[in-house]
Amino acid sequence: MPAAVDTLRAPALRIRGLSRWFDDPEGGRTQVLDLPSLELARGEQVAVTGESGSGKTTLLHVVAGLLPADGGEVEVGGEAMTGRSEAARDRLRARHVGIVFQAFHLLPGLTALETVALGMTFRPASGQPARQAARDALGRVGLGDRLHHLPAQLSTGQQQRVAIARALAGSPTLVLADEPTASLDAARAEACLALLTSFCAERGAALLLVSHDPSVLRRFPRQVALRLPSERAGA
Amino acid sequence: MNLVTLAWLGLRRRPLATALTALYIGLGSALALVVWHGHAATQRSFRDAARGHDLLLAPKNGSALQSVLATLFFVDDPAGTLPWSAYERARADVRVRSAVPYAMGDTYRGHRVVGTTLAHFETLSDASGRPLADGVTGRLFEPEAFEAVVGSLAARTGGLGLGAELQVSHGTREGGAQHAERWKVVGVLRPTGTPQDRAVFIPLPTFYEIEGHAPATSTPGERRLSAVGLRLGAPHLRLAAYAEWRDGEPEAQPVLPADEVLRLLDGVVAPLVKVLEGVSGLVLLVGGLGILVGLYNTLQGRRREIAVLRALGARPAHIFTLIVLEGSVLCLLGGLLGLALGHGLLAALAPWALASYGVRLEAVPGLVDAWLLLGVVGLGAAAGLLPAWRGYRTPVASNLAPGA
Repeated sequence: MPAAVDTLRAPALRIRGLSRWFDDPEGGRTQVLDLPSLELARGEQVAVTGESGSGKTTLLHVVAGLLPADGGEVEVGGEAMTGRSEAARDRLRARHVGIVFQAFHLLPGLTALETVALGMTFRPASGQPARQAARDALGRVGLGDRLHHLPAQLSTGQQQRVAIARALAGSPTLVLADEPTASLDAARAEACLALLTSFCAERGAALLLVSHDPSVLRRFPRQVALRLPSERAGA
Repeated sequence: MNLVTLAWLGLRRRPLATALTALYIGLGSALALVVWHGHAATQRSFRDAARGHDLLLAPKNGSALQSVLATLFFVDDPAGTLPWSAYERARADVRVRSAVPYAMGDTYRGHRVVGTTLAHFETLSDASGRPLADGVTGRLFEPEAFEAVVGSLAARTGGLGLGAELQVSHGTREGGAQHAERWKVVGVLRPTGTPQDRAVFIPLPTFYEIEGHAPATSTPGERRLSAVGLRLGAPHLRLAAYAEWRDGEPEAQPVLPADEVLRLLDGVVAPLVKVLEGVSGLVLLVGGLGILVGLYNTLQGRRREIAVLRALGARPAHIFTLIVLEGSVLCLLGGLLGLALGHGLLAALAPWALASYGVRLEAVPGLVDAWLLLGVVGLGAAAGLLPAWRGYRTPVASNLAPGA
């Protein structure tokens, strides 16, 4: 089974000549993302930096398959994310990608356990039942005693830990984190970041984290800087 | 977690809207159920009751339907009288196996008092074909004694146990003057689920002993009857006998009870049922529109939820299915509520329907309930289609931004 071996040995993320353009209000087109290459090995953790408008969030969306690329190639876990239909990208995202949002995006009315189980609903069935995996993940982030709490009954730090558990419960190949500490105070941000990086390491998941916070970036030896369109034009 | 669970969780997040919409659908379903079972029970009961006599001889100038309703269902005034001679001629006809004379015009506490002969109890039967004479508690009356046999419901509601005495009141409605004569209850019919349960039967000769019912000097031949029920030797004789009596009987008209009942059901009951079916259909339709509008309106506030589900790997088809399922699950809840309400209502109405009209409302949950539930769930799914299409097309990335 050579193809399977390749997929298992392939890097978590491989990007070649990635670009994304948006239509601007004046009728022209602006290139909001330009990344010649990037590769993350399995379990590797990389921070993406850049000023607002440099395409950091767009990069995460294109890597996750939420937006199509206008040029270039993205492979996640050895499988092409670019050049595929929306449904195929959705399947690939469900199989390989976990996402942590800046605003947590927990659904009101769902308990912590339901939220984390929901994160695995669309993944291919694994050996462990989703509910048990969700329970384990919440235990790992220190919320084993908050399984049946609603978001409104949790602190912001706890909400973000639920979001981390949701992203990692299914043991994805790649975790994408978009400013995951921006809504937290310094102490909680530090704890949250430590939890995210250690949990990814335990699960063998690569981490691509977007931030412009120097205190966050300090933790990442490897960083990728994205440039503003104006900087690219002047280069 | 599967999509049905997810749909249920989505509905649970909007408890008031979910409860109110389910209640609305439930009321529509209950109405449809009551109409259907009520109609079926009415048809069954009327046809069973009309099955007792092949023909009725009724007053010549009265309404045929009125005679059937008065004689077999005890729900209308007798349509006049016919001469005793008509009864004698019918009884002498070789085609007639039994002729049962009826004289009516009095009541006991709202229950129709029927003067008749023992032939009545041998000729009429319940829905299973068992004659009324079977299973009588006590005995049947002596043909000329002041004795009474009462239906099971009349015995219960009228306090007429064995040995009780009763005095009848003049007229077919309550409030008439009480006659002086007294009858002793010697028999109580078993419950039959037919109008017979509601009546009080007395020997025909004693009916004429009631003051004012026949001249004191009258001979039997001068007496008049409300109707005569006829059982023929064979069913195929019905139409020929009908035609002959219609043309040859000077003071009575033959009536085919089954035809009159059919005419009543088709001409009066069926249009009413159609109207009620239309109303229940309209209620369900409005409920479906409510679901459509409700789901559609909530989508504006659910764009982020949909985007998050997509980010978690849901495909557009999942979102479409999820929203359709929300409509279906909502209607399933409403439908189940409707079945419970409907059967509860039928159970509550059953004693009244039996007491007032002799209609046995036996509503055993069955295929109709399953079809109703299926239809209602289908309605919910259909109502979810348009919102589901909008949800299907909800953009993802723009709705994940913190300020979106």
